[in-house]
Amino acid sequence: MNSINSQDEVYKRMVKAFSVNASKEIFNLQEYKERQDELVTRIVQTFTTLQIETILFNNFSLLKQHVYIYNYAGVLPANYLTNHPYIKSSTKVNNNHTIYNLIFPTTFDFFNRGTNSVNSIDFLIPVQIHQKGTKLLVFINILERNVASLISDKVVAVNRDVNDDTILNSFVESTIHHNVQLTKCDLNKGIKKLWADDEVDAFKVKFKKDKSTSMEIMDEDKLLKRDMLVVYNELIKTPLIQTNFRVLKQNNLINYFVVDPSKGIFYFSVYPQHQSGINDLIDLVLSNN
Amino acid sequence: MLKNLLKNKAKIIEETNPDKIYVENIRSFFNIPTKWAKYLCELAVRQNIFRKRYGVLCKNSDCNRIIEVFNSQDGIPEEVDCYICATEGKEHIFKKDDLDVIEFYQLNDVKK
Repeated sequence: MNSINSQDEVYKRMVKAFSVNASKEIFNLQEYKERQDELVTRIVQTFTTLQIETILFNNFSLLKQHVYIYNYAGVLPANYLTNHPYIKSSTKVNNNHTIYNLIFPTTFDFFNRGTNSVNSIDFLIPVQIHQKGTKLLVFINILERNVASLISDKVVAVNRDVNDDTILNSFVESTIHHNVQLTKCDLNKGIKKLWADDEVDAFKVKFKKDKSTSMEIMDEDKLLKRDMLVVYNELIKTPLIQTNFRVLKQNNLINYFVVDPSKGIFYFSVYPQHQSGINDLIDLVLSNN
Repeated sequence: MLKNLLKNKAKIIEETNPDKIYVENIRSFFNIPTKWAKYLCELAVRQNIFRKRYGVLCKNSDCNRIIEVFNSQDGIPEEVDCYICATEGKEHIFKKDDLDVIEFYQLNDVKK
């Protein structure tokens, strides 16, 4: 089991976070017609770990990811996060915007039926944090690895030690230490403005009513505001919970996204097509919030 | 009964979506057994009042929406993709044979 957790193997699994097309583009390997396994092997053999990390963080917006948006009250010191155990690099974009790049190690434990023993497999989770004005935006790569597909024996009872909450808690703890208060950013206003302007329309929506939580899932390619205006007019006055949107106007953003405006969380579970599409969409929501 | 259906067509249009009439809509409208309502719908198809449609339902229990509508069972492709479930990172490509199909009817003289 040692070889499966060698540095090369762990980095290969991290690079697999990109789509095959994105990997070819960002590592400049367009001329190779290889499948993903061969392509990631070529990448770890061609590039150093530092180069891989740099390319990964420069292209973070092409990853599937969850984005948590916080307001913070207080003053974050300049060295905030630079002492974090998993910090890799940071970049000051301007006086108002600093980007921190972190890689969280995580271990999946599983029972191997072939050897009748408990084994473990290591992964790396890239995380990017933008400290922007009075907002903290935490971008966490979705780690959706199927352990069974990586092990030749049958595996059962897979457990992982790090999830989004553990990652987020590591920042919350350090803000408490700095006497800074983090609160979830309510995005209802910004999302509803884009919806009112027909920038986006929903194909699934969950919202709070007086005495219940209601959900509408649209059939076929129907959209809620376009095809059920009466319901839209009702729910637009209520707090939105997890809602799935299609982007209608700006074609350089992303096609679809899921957002929980009341919790300040975006979910991007489909590979983004455009470089910085995710960041531009979030900026658009925040500028209308 | 068919006469009744024709007579009450305006009311059916008013009370249900004429593009998506389920057997249950007819059953509850006339307060008749489901078997009769089904027979009535099929009769309406033969009389060219209704046309029959087949909606493919998403297999994920927390979705279950109609992914796509087809004119016949044979028209359903081998694989169907629910893009709503794709946006949530859930299983979203399903084999035709694994999916449930819901039948419904549309009023023929309704201009789309």
